[in-house]
Amino acid sequence: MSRVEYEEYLEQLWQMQTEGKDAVSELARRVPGGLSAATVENMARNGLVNLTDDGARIALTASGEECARKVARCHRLAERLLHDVLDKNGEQLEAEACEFEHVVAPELVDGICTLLGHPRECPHGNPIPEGECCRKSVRFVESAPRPLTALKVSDRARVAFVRCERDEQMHRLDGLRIRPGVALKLHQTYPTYVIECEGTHIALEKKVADNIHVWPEQ
Amino acid sequence: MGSATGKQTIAIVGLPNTGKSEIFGRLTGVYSLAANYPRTTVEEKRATCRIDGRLVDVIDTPGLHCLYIHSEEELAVRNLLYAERPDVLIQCIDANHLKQSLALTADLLELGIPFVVCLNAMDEAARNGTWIDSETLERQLGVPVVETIATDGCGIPDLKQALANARKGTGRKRYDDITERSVADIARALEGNVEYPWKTSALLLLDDPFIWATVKERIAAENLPLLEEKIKAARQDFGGNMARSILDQRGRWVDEMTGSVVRKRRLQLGSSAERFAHLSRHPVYGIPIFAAFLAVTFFMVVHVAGFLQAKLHAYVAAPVTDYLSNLLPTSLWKDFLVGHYGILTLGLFNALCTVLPILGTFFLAMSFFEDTGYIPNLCVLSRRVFAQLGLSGKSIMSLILAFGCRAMATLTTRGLTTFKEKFIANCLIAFTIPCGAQLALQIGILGRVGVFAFLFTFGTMILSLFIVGMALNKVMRDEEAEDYIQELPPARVPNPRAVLRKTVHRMLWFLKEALPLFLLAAAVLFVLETSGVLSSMKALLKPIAVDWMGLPPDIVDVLILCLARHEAAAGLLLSLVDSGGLTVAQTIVSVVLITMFVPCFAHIAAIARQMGLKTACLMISCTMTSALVVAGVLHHLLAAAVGG
Repeated sequence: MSRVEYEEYLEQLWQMQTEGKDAVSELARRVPGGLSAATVENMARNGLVNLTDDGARIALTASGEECARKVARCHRLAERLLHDVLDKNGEQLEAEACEFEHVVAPELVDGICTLLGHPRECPHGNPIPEGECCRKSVRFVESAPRPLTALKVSDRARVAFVRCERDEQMHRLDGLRIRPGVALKLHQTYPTYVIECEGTHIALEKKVADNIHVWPEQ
Repeated sequence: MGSATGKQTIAIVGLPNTGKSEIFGRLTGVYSLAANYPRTTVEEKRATCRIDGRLVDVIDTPGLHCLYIHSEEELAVRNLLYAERPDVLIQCIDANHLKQSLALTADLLELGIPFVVCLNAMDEAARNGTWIDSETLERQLGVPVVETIATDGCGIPDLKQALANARKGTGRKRYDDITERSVADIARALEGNVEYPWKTSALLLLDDPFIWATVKERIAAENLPLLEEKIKAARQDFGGNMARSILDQRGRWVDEMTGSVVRKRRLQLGSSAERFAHLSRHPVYGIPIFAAFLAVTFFMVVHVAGFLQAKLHAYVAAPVTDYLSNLLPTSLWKDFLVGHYGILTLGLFNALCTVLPILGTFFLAMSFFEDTGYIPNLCVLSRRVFAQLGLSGKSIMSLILAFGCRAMATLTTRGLTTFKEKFIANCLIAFTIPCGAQLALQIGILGRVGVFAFLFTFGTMILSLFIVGMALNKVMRDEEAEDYIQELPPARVPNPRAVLRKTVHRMLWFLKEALPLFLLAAAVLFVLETSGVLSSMKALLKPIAVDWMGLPPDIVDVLILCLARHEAAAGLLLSLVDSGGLTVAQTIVSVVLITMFVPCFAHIAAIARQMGLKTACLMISCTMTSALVVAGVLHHLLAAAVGG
């Protein structure tokens, strides 16, 4: 029995729970390729679901719910990503989101969530369960990347990404080691921006500084 | 290729301001002008010397960030590597900024030329608390790594020794499979026709803006479509932004490399030099610092030089003149040597006793300020002001460098990407900015008649700079200018020996270039005078010189000298001022006149190279006419002001 199958079951059970349904026959209708009794038994043995004695009704346990939540979160974020960024729609969206949710590493999910700006709903309007990153961002909105120009003099920051209109500028900035991950310090904003990056002082005009997005550091 | 002549060719490459010229000087014994700002060297410099008993050609090159080119000045260096195929490279690295340099190291490893890494400025790195494990670096790169302090000559013998062990290096960065496969595939198509097939192929994939030109020269036209096809296929195969991916992989390679060899002291001691640099570009404190810089220069050029001139005249010029006038019987000989237009008085002593002290003190001040790293900070300070003139990026640096040498500044404009910026910068340099020598002599002459005259003339000059610049900026069509990104050099307390050496170098350069012309001009004036042509010329030019510009008829002598060398004219003008032959207003008018009248030959040649011969001729005729017009207008304005 694969992880894919497991996750598929958990996701459907989660969906059923929000709809107030708990019939095993309903689950059988929803999972692709029909219900496998062995999988359900396995899940029960692993403490993810509770089955009634007659085997007609099924419900997620607390740990099952937690797992299902994660799967649903991943699936819906994947939908958001495919829909918003990669411009996928309809069946293609669904098929690719299904594939996506199973291959993405759990630690990447929060990263994607942050990248998308902590979305609340999937493209179909279903709620996306909150992750650790969403909760933190509510408390520290500060930690989102912002343009270098939003910093104050003598603030320190780490580069999140650099937007370049032309490849040429990307090469130029990369040559000065202004690239994702490096720490920098803002020294001056007038008459022009001066930053310190990897031990070198660099003067930039506002237009360039606007394109450098950073995470402020305390 | 060097081996064809039996002589080895060694090229020194590296990022801007990493000490290439210093290393060049230490290896060859030939002085190459060095200063603490990026792009001091704008053209390659060559010398032949003996290293380990073998004769080698050494080439000093302008700064290069990496082999992917984004400006014309860097292109010149890459073209040199392709055209000359040096046998050995020395990569000069500022030990304080190892990370920034390693991208170029990665490129050099990919080129496959044997090279040596020279970790320079080790003393400064130690002071800053940076420790580099050069043995590990050597092992990882697979090329010799030598530690040096070029300014003191430390480590140079090691460097010479290491040159014999230069190797191609084993530490080349391996990219992802698709990239490696694509690059190798294209490289096979270039093999045999193009130098450095691997690197060239990588540059083609990176879409370097200039590499096609290089490839087209070397590959038969019928094979080009196949090559293009391959590149297209490789990009499709990759399916993403290949440039970004390669940069990213290389960035990680650099991080790994530095991570294992660089240790930094956690405590960062803010140096007073660093604080000074910060203040000098501060919008408020920067201005008094600039004023102080001007005041020091003024003091040096007027008072220190004045003192030296007096001593030189009293102890050298006067005794020799007296001795010769007593010795020589016939008046023709006496006049030729020590007369009013004598080859010694107007030629030699003018150069040595009048002009040289002014230039020497000015060069001393300039060399000192240059080495502190002040100049790029001045660019930051004045950026907003120059933006009004349509100058946004690197052109500001060119303009400020023009106050040192206009010819060199004109050459630095070749890095500018838009025609508008290039044109405005060249016009301003040609019309409104005095070069170091001119500025020094202006200060020297005007300082004699008072600070007011100096400030007035300087003010007029700045005003005209603004009027011309703003007008051109308004008139010319806007182009998308390159964004302003500038590295600021570390602030340093200049090494007195280096400053003195540079000053002496500049003084000797002046004597070599100008002294023959001083003598020639004096001889020509003497002939014109004795044959009576001079007095008829004065009569002929009287309407312009006397009526229009309000100057004494003797100004014609000055203008003739000016055609040869403006410093010679300034020397004569200075003696006119000293002898009380000119009023304050006349002094101002004549200083403006000689500053603008004729640009120097090096400058004309530089303009011709950058903007074409026609533009150069046009610019010169404009300058000469406008010099006469401006001088006249100035005279009438001053007369009106005094009269009112």
